[in-house]
Amino acid sequence: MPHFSSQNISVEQNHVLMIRMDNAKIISHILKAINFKENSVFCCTKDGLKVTVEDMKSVQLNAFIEPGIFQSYVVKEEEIKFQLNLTVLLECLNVFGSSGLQSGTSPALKLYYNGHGTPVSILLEESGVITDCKIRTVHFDPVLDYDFGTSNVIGRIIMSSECLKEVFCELDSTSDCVQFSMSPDSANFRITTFGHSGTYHVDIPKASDVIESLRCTSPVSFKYKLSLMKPSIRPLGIAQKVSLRIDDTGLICFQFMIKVEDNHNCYIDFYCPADVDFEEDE
Amino acid sequence: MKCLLDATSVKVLARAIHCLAKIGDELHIEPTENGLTLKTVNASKSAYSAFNFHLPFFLDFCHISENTIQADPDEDTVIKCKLPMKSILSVFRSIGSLEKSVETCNIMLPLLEALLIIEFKCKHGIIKHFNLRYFECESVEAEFCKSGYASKFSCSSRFYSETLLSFHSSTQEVTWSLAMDQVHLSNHIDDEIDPSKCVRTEVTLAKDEFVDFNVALCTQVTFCLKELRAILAFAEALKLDLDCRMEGAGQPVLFSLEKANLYSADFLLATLTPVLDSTATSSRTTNNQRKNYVSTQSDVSKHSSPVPVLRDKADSRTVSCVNLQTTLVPIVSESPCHTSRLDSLSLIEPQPFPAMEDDLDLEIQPPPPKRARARYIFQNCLKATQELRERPCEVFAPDSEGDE
Repeated sequence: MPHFSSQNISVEQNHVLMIRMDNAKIISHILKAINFKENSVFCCTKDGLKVTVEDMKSVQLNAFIEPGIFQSYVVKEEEIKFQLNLTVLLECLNVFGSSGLQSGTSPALKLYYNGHGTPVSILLEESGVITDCKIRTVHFDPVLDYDFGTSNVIGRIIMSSECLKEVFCELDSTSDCVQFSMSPDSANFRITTFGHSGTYHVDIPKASDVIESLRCTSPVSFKYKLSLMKPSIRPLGIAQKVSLRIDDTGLICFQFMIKVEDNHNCYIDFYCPADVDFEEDE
Repeated sequence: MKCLLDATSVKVLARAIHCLAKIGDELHIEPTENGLTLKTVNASKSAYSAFNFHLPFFLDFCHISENTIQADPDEDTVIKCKLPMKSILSVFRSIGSLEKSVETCNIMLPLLEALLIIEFKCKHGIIKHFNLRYFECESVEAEFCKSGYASKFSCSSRFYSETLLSFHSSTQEVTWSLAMDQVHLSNHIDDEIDPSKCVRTEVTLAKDEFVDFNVALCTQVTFCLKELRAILAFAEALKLDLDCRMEGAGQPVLFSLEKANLYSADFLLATLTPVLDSTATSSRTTNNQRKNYVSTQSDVSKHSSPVPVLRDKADSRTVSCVNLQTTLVPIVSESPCHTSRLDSLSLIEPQPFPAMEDDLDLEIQPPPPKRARARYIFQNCLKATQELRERPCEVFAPDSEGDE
């Protein structure tokens, strides 16, 4: 067990956030999947850690890690928010090597934050070797709060993440967008691309064993820019299950369930707005 | 046309398409009573390849496209088409994922829609539909007769692959020297390259290393490795033997393979014309051009063998007795959309050699490397349509509205 308690005892009173984990690989495994942009906003509350990465004020990935996953999780304020460079954080967390979650040894982690303007301190220990990092934080930019109310959801699917990942990876890259369609009358969930060679459809039957549940109140069909969908592929790769929800404005929310330790799950959310054809509005 | 394939056949078809994609840019699809034929010709028309899939290859096969809405036997046709290799390759791109998930494959050329429809029925009930746009075209045909060749030998494709491993990966052409009891391979060195600065590789294969060996004519043949490598990639993956038939220098080489009664494939590759000692400059240029087969009455002993001719079936009359110089003009002006006119530089009908030389009126200036030069000279033959020149500035109908 690491002996951190002997260091900096006097400073501990100033920490507004303190996290201790025996296996830092868990947090780096999850955060790596949302690292499609460098900047991330951390929001820590008593319910857990939420890390948000956003692009172009539209596409957003959020990672949720509940307190039960940490060995110790202390938050001294109601809500602590800061922004830091996620790529740098991941490099620090992987300083002892970035082998997978299951393999290799697991470095122990201690993370401190003393409030606005101070850096995030990270202490990593593995086999007696200790690494000390300080990462600068900046005042966070406000992130979009996608209020995905259940009342507006038209279509919802829970399915195997692996299957959806295979479909996504094979989508025709010459197509600008991808269309998701489902309807109460149709037996399938259809994913369509419109590429240079022609139109390709993938039909996943509702009755298939890869779909756990499909609920659709009325026909829904929306297009999404393929380039905006790309950030969803990494979380798809590490998740076991994914739920897709589409609301009446075409906003799609993917929720990925990732199993980390024996009975713990972490979640990643992905929001993407539909590709709207502006010419139609004029 | 509609046909149904099982998982193993889909993989073979995918590999065939990968092989064809390395040779040409357009895939010609021709359903016949006996099965499906896929063909391609490369851009410089120096390689032709045809895969024939026979009826037992399919779970179900019908070469006729019918009117599915209102059955009318008079409307039934056999649709022949071609499409860009990129399109069809995007469907069959990953053989690994096809292997993992595809259970059956349906390919259709419906009468009522101008689309090639491919449907993969995959695991978990998932169905993938691919609707590809195609172009109608005349068939591409290379006439050759397998029995007419002087020399034939065959061995496993793995053996050829291993032999070619001895050659540096940048080797582009290999010379095959046939003798009564052996085949000698050496890398072909361009005249333009300083012989003292390049690596020579030579491999000799004795007669008994082959499954079958029958050389009637001792000769030297040089052709490009690129297509051979594509052929071997296919043949090796399916552990097939490869037959090689050679005539003489300048004559095309024929590689063939087949699998029982399921499928067979033929690959006709152009070879370099031999150097002539008599006429120094023109022969040098002849040799440097990557055209080929001009049959020489004197060189080949068994000239009764029909020399392969590549022609557009619909225009067989125009092909005969056309020499290189004049082919340029007719191709460009006659039928601009006729992309499969193949009576150009490489696989042309034989001419007596002396006539050939006169036509080699090369006014092209700096000599680029062989292949590039040939393509440069005959670039107009390879364009689908003639490009219109910009009109001169005289305006016949001015704009009715001024510019903004």
